[in-house]
Parts: sequence; structure tokens; C-alpha cells
Amino acid sequence: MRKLLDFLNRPATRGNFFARAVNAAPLQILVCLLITAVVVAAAVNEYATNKYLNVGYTPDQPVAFDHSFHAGPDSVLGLDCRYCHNYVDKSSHSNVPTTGTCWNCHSQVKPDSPALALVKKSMETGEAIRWVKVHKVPDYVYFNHAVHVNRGVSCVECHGRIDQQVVVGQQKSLNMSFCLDCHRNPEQFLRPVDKVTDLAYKAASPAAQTADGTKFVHDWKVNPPQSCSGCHR
Amino acid sequence: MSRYLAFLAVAVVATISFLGFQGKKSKDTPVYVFDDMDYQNKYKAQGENAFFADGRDARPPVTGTVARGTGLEPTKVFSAGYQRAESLNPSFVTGKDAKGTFIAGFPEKSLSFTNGKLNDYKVSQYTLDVGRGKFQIYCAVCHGQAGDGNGIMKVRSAIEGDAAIVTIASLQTPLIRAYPNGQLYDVVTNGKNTMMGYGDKLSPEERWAVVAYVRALQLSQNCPPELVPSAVKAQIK
Ligand code: HEC
Ligand code: HEC
Ligand code: HEC
Ligand code: HEC
Ligand code: HEC
Ligand code: HEC
Repeated sequence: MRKLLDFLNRPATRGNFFARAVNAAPLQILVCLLITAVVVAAAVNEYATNKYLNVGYTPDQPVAFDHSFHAGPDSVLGLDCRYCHNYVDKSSHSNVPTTGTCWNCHSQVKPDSPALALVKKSMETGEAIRWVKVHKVPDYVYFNHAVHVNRGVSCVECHGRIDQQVVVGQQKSLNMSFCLDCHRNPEQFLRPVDKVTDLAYKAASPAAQTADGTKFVHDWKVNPPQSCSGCHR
Repeated sequence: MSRYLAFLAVAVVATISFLGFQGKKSKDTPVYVFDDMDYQNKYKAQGENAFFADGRDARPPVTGTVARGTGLEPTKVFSAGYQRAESLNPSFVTGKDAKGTFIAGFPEKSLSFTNGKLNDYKVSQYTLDVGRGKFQIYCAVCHGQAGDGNGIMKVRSAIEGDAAIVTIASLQTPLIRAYPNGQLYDVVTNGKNTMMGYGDKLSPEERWAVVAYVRALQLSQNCPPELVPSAVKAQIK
């Protein structure tokens, strides 16, 4: 009997079947769970939003057309966007140019270049060049180019510096919060209508931008929709 | 704990090296696990379509039909007294009169109606502003801002013989100054020789505006002294 009591009252094990280090376990589990939660949240934010899926999408095009050479005031040719995307200020859809548009020049300029073989073939057969579509909003979203372009919203706000790109890629997320960021504060973005295709344009200072923008919002009665039915009709 | 953290770190590194970061350039079409209603089966502008032989959503209009969105009111189109502005005023669209010769001035009537009558066509400051805008977009790259035929597409040939269009005409020559307006309009619409037409990009109103602006350019480069305002004259030494 006595022996048994001595055994149970041994200093090291009295009432304790676990190693001492186990005392820290609840805290450690909590810390691990917290770290895991943070990592998972970061991963969802990084990979499960359309920013991850869409921004940076830069597909190969059937013809190696180079915007940075053809388009924009700083380029070699200095073509205005509307020379090719000629319905952008007239229609909801901004058209990708017809083959004939390229042929205006290329019937004279390097018509037999291998880089333009598909353009030539398309001109001869009437078959469309299958340009790969880059920017896209889901089909349940109503979007209209003309209303934006004719109210001083520049291409650069939604497409980035296309005039510096050799291959077109998506640079802005085009998700709902992106649209609403502007629809809530249009005065931060509006510019004179004749500067819409000048992608390098910047107002003299942020203060000047706000002043100009506020004036445009007032003069043109700009009222971008923030209600759901404006964009989901 | 340290073993778990090491495992987590490996998992994070593996994920990042496999999936990369947001916004990195990628040639792969985005994969939608749940595509919701992002892609719906409907015809869209310049869309692709496996049903038609030419593979396009867009269909050419059937003969005898009128395209939607041409600003025509259906109640009027189907009424007995309906008349199409273009057929009432063909010279606005062709630049030629009934006998087929180019009209010298601008068309007398426009394509818009008031009370069933065609409105008069007038060249205003607004017309010239439209004309300048369109000229700078569609013409200046070849014919130059001043219409002298020295746009970038021509002067390129002087730069180390870069590929260029050497046939580009100056719009300031006596020959083209003497053109009737209708002939200028015809060149803009249908092109001529090595120049393609711009009738698919510019509406008839915009083409007449371009013609008006070309006339203004020609005047600007060859202005008779009596037309120069006296205030400007004083500045010219
Ligand atoms: C010489 C004709 C030409 C000019 C000028 C031009 N583009 Fe383009 N653009 C094209 C062609 C052809 C494509 C389709 C191929 C591609 O994506 O590269 C295109 C594609 C695009 C796209 C991507 C379309 C998609 O599928 O999402 C955007 C955005 C665009 N252009 C914007 C601009 C802007 C902004 C300007 C003015 C700075 C401009 N373009 C000037 C010919 C032109
Ligand atoms: C305003 C005239 C103009 C228009 C319109 C135009 N281009 Fe060009 N393009 C040029 C010139 C000039 C060059 C440079 C040729 C050289 O290398 O000297 C060029 C070069 C190219 C090249 C490179 C050719 C090579 O062999 O290196 C491609 C590809 C091209 N263009 C595609 C297109 C396509 C596609 C379109 C229609 C969407 C188009 N271009 C519209 C003027 C034009
Ligand atoms: C307010 C934002 C916004 C502005 C401003 C804007 N775009 Fe877009 N653009 C979009 C969106 C969104 C799409 C995708 C539309 C879709 O899903 O078909 C698009 C698509 C395009 C396309 C491809 C169309 C197709 O179906 O292949 C072209 C080309 C284009 N834009 C050119 C332009 C040009 C040129 C300008 C300036 C004159 C411009 N955009 C201004 C938002 C914008
Ligand atoms: C940089 C600013 C800006 C961005 C980005 C922008 N918008 Fe707008 N949007 C405007 C302005 C300004 C108006 C108001 C035009 C007016 O009142 O005339 C407008 C109007 C609209 C309208 C109303 C058009 C009509 O017919 O009544 C719709 C729909 C719309 N935007 C959709 C979108 C969508 C979808 C996106 C995102 C892909 C977007 N916008 C991104 C500035 C922007
Ligand atoms: C300025 C235009 C605009 C307005 C206003 C707007 N949306 Fe959206 N909405 C969008 C765009 C663009 C997308 C597509 C986002 C994407 O690419 O995933 C979208 C997507 C959505 C989606 C789908 C999200 C997904 O990823 O599946 C829902 C749900 C939605 N909107 C609800 C609403 C509701 C509710 C309102 C009103 C409170 C509203 N929207 C107002 C532009 C708008
Ligand atoms: C791609 C280059 C190019 C563009 C853009 C262009 N032209 Fe031309 N244009 C030419 C060439 C080349 C000629 C010479 C045609 C010939 O006689 O071979 C010409 C000739 C002309 C002529 C004289 C025709 C004659 O009878 O001799 C007129 C007028 C003219 N262009 C007007 C315009 C107008 C207006 C525009 C804008 C809507 C325009 N051009 C855009 C290349 C161009």
C-alpha cells in the first residue's frame, strides 16, 4: 500500500500523464490555425478572383499586328484608334477592323511580306481573319463603348497603354468594383472629348483633374448608373 | 509546429511556382471552373458562328429589307406614304446629279426630314469641325495635316527608303482645286486608283463635312489677299 502511494506521488508524474511540452499545445494549434486562415484567405484573394484569371491574358494573334508601331500619337505612324476601331464612338461595340482597313495601306506597303500573308489571303478569299478576343465582360453585363468615349472616358482607363503594347493583353480587371470605382467618382477620370484617344494625356495636376472633371460632370450632365439595372439589364 | 509550418511553406512555394502571381502575362485562355452565365448562346457583334458557312454571326441584309438601327421608325416604314430619304435625295449619297455628272457645290437638301420635307443642307462651323476631326483621323496619315500630300505614309520613303505609299496625291494642286465637290465626295466614298474608299467608315454627312474641310484647307494654302481679315493682315509682315 505505502509503496503504491509513493509511486503515485512521484514528483515528476503526479496527476500528469502527458509530457510538459504539451501544455503549449492549445496555443500552438491556435497559431497554426490563424496562419493557415491567413494563407488560405490570401490564396483565395489571389487565385479565385477574375483578376487572376483575366489580367495579363495576352494571346497570340493570327497576324503579328503591333499597336505600338501603328497607333497613338507617339507611335511611328500616329494613327488614331478610330482609324481602325471606327465604330467605337458610334456603337456599343468597338469593332476590330476589317481586312480592307489594313489593305488601305498594305496594298502598297509590303503586300507580299510573310507577316501579312494571312491579310492578303483574307483579302483575296473574303474569309475573316480570326483575331482572338482579349477583353470580355460576362454576357450578363451590358457594356457600351459610345456612351463612355463620347463623355470623355479614355480608352486608357479600361485598356491601359495599348499604344505601347506590341501584343495586346488585358491590363485592367474590368470587374464590377472596377466599373463602380469610376461610376462613383467620374470627375477623377473624365477628360476633354478630343483627348480620348490620346492615351498619354494627363491633366496638369490632380487638382486640375478634379476641377476639370467636376466641370465636365456638370456641363455634360454626366450621371453614370450605380444601380444594378444600369449594367445588368 | 515547426514541422507543420515547414509543410505549409512548401505548399505555398509549390502553389506559387505552379500558378504564378496575379497579372502575369499568359497566353492561355482563362479557365472558368464555374462559368455562371458568362458565355451565353447569343449572336454578338463580330461573333463567331459554326452554323453559317462563312462562320460569322453577322448576316448580310436580305435584299429588300431595311437594317435595324438605321434610325427609321417602323410606323413610318410600313405606312403607305413612306419614302426613303436616300431615294428622295440621291445626289447626297452619290455626289452626282440626275444626269450622272458630279455636282459642283454642296447638295441642296440633307437627309433629315421636318414635317415630311427634306431639310436644307447648310455648311456651318459645326460641319467644318466634324470635317476636321474626320480628316485628321482618316486622311492626314497619308495626305498630311495641311492636305499637301506629305503625310507620314509618304515621307517615310525619304527615311532610308522605308516602305511607303509614294503615289499619294497632294490635295493642293490646281487639278484637285478645280474638281467639283461631287468628285471629291466620290473619291472619299469609292477611292481612286491606289487609294481605297472611306465610304464604309464615314456616313454621307461626314463625307460632305470632309469635303467642306478639304475646301477650307485649300483656301488656307492659297488665300486671296482680300479674304484675309485686316487684324491678321497687320500681323503679317
Ligand atoms: C491599324 C489599325 C489599328 C489601330 C490604329 C488601332 N488598333 Fe486596336 N486593334 C487592331 C487589331 C487588328 C486588333 C486585333 C488584334 C489584336 O488584338 O492585336 C486590335 C485590338 C485591340 C484591342 C483588343 C481587342 C480585344 O480583343 O479585346 C484593344 C483594346 C485595342 N485594339 C485598342 C486600341 C486603341 C486604344 C487604339 C488607339 C491607341 C487602337 N487600338 C488603335 C487594329 C488597330
Ligand atoms: C496607315 C497605314 C497602315 C495601316 C492602316 C496598317 N498598316 Fe501595317 N504597317 C504600315 C507600315 C508603314 C508598316 C511598316 C513597314 C516597314 O516595315 O517598313 C507596317 C507594318 C506592318 C506589319 C509588319 C510587316 C513586316 O513584314 O514587318 C504587320 C504584320 C502589319 N503592319 C499589320 C497590319 C494589320 C493587320 C493592319 C490592319 C489592322 C495594318 N497593318 C494596318 C502601315 C499601315
Ligand atoms: C469604360 C471602359 C472602356 C473604355 C473607355 C473603352 N473600352 Fe474597349 N472594351 C471595354 C470592355 C469592358 C470590353 C469588352 C466588351 C465585351 O465583352 O465584348 C472592351 C472591348 C474592346 C474591344 C474588343 C471588342 C471585341 O469584341 O473584340 C476593342 C477593339 C476595344 N474595346 C477598343 C476600345 C477603344 C479603341 C477605346 C477608346 C476609344 C475603348 N475601347 C474604350 C471597356 C472599355
Ligand atoms: C473611367 C470611368 C468609367 C469606367 C471605368 C466605367 N464607366 Fe461606365 N460610365 C462612365 C460615365 C462617365 C458614364 C455616364 C455617361 C453619361 O452620363 O452620359 C457611364 C455610363 C455607363 C452606362 C450607362 C449607359 C447608358 O446607356 O445609359 C453603363 C451601362 C456603364 N457605364 C457600364 C459600365 C461597365 C459595365 C463598366 C465596367 C466594365 C464601366 N461602365 C466602367 C464612366 C465609366
Ligand atoms: C457599373 C456597372 C455595374 C453595376 C451598377 C452593377 N454591376 Fe454587377 N457586375 C458588373 C460587372 C462588370 C460584373 C462582372 C464581374 C466579373 O467579370 O466577374 C458584374 C458581376 C455581378 C455578379 C456576378 C459576380 C460573379 O462573379 O459571379 C453579381 C451577382 C452582380 N454583379 C450583382 C450586382 C448587383 C446586386 C448590383 C446592384 C447593387 C450590381 N451588380 C450593379 C457591373 C455592374
Ligand atoms: C492610305 C493612304 C490614304 C489615305 C488614308 C487617304 N488617301 Fe487620298 N489618296 C491616296 C493616294 C495613294 C492617292 C493617289 C491615287 C492615285 O491617283 O493613284 C490619293 C488621292 C486622293 C485624291 C485625288 C484623287 C484624284 O482624282 O486624283 C483625293 C481628293 C483624296 N485622295 C482625298 C482623300 C481624303 C478626303 C481622304 C480621307 C477621307 C483620303 N484621301 C485618305 C492615299 C490615301
